[in-house]
Amino acid sequence: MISQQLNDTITRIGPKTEAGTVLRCYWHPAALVEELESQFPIPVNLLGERLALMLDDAGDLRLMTRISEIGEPPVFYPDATEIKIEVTGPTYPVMVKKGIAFAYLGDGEAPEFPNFDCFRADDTHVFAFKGLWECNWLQALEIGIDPAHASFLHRFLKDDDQGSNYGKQFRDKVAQTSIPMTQVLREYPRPDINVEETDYGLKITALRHMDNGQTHVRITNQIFPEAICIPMSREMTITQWHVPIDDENCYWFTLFTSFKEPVNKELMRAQRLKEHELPTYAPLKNRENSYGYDPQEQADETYTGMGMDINVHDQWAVEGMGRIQNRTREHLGRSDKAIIRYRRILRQAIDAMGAGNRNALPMQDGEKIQTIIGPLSNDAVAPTENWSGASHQADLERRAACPWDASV
Amino acid sequence: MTQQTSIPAEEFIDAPTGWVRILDREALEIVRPLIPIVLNGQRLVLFRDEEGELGLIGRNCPHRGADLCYGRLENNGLRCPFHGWHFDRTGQCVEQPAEPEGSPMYKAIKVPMTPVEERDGGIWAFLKDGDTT
Amino acid sequence: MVPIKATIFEDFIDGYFPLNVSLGHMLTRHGFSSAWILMRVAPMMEIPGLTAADPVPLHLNPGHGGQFDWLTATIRISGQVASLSGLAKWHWNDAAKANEQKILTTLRLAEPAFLRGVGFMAGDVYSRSLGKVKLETSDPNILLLSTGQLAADPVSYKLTDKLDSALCWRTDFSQGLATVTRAALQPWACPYLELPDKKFEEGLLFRNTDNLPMSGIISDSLACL
Repeated sequence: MISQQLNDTITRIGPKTEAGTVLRCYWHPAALVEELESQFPIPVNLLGERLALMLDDAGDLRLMTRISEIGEPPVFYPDATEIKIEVTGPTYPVMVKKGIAFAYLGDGEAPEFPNFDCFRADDTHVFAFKGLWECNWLQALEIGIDPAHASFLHRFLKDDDQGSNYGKQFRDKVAQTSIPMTQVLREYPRPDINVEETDYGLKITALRHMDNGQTHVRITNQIFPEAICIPMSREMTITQWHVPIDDENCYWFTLFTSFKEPVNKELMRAQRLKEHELPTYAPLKNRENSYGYDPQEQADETYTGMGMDINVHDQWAVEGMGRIQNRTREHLGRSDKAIIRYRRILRQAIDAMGAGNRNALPMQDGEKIQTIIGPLSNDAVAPTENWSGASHQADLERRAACPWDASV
Repeated sequence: MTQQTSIPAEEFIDAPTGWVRILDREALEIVRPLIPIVLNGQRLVLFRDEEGELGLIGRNCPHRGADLCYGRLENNGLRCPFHGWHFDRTGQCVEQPAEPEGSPMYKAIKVPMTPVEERDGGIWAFLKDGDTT
Repeated sequence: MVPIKATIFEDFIDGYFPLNVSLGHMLTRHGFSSAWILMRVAPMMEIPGLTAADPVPLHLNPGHGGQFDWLTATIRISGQVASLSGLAKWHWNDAAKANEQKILTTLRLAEPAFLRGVGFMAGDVYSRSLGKVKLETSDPNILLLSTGQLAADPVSYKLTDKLDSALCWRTDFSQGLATVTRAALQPWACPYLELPDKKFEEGLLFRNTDNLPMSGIISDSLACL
């Protein structure tokens, strides 16, 4: 339980707000490159600002301020012909990386991009997509740094065969075993969670000690301020930003990064287009249709009764908290330790910006940023007495077999 | 017993203090006996447990605020699908299965309960003074 | 100055329970008889009329909340709970409480808190602030400093070469939790070589190592100073 005042401080991100000032020190996904195929200008709603992507005289992308009408919906997506640019308004630099146009809305120099796997992999090995969640960005992020919830929210009461699960989270077999991931999550619901502060944010290790002297090791990451990097399957990782549209809505932007084989982008895109409507990328399952909830399915097949797509489960959990989670009514447990550590970093960053000390924030020290690689993001099964070394070794083997430079 | 395909619509009730008839008994005769109730603006969830008794408790899980209308009716109570926190019909938390072994935290967590009973073919709730503001 | 059997640890303690109860749970979990702890940026609350047996409130009223900017304390198991004395810097949302110089150790954290510290097993060496602690014979990174009761000879432990990067925290706090300003903290925690020996009663000396929890203790300490 935190005070309303503190909740406002850490959630609200408009211009001149405290958390907004911290977020504006970083690049944020503004649009998918596939959105740029339509006519310019292209509407962008980001960090409480109404913007549009334009091509400047040199042919470079630039984000400019768009004249907005009172009462526009938060994810308003007008046709190019209806967009009027506020010529005296702020404009921002844009950089395209792997299928996403990133924008920098802050003061001063934009920082370098860190050398994460999702940025250094070949274009053939990275696929980008996005989706709308109708809630504040922080609760969207916090579910991604909560290793305990997967054993409940994403519990499947039956394990299906793993044949048709390409491109889906938690539907693979674990590491080099024949155990479905769904079974591990279901049978070991109380992970030991270790959290370490790193130069990019947090490294989160969830250990599920199994009966046979083996431990399931799942390593995920928080990338400051609003991204996560997690394993999706043996072949792919997910790097996902929870980007504020305004205080009450956000987009998830994901770079799916494949180690060995090129990504089947057509299949990945078709899977996701079936669940979303364009041009807003709003999910077809939502609050209005109870997320497709089926009580019989909840009794027999899934914990939520909302189908097999775990993204829908997450969306229900975070949207059900209300547009901005009322943290004066929350009761975190010790299993929420990564959330607690994250908020500590965020509050320290807010204090540092208040004191004019931007360099105290993660990934703001120019020389070091490009030396940040990885991060290690992996599921492995290892002997309990040597889980750390074995998990690291499994990641190194995967990286060594990879056609792009994935060395760490 | 009526089959159902989703969550029953929210019932909105505004009433003075004292015992108030909120529903006909038949309204809960559904496969999954749970109905969202908004009582004088307070968002609650009404459910029947395996002993056949009624619970009328706050709708947002006290952990991280998930919507308990989508909870699982099991083990004689209501379980939040987010992290498995389990509540009995009085609103007392009886289990936090993801918390570290031996954690006593669940004992200190109790969702507010509105007294509820069945008579004359109806379901009645008792509203205190504070419930009407 | 003696090397003592000590475990550097990081942990999360529960919120919502009285602080001395949550810390008592933690000591019991680790099997420590006493500990020195350091905690930063932790939301807290004080609810009038709430007894130890009551369920926790479901909502935090604005006037009941506050935050520890940092807290350092020695804690000892005393029955089921921890006895607790130390120094802290905090603020309450309620302006009427702005000038309180002491707070009760029965106040509650408003969410679980991350802390770092050094835990001690019961042994035969008497320390006034940490109780009886165990002697360590081999190369420790933590030394107990004391005037009067303990013989002090760093040379015999061959640690002199490392002491220039060591940090010392005094542990002989007064009873309860008292506030202290950042400037007034200097005599309580400082690099070993600047130790104000005349005022010194008892304290812990941390030898700086690359070990992660230890470097965390040092960096957290420096952030408080």
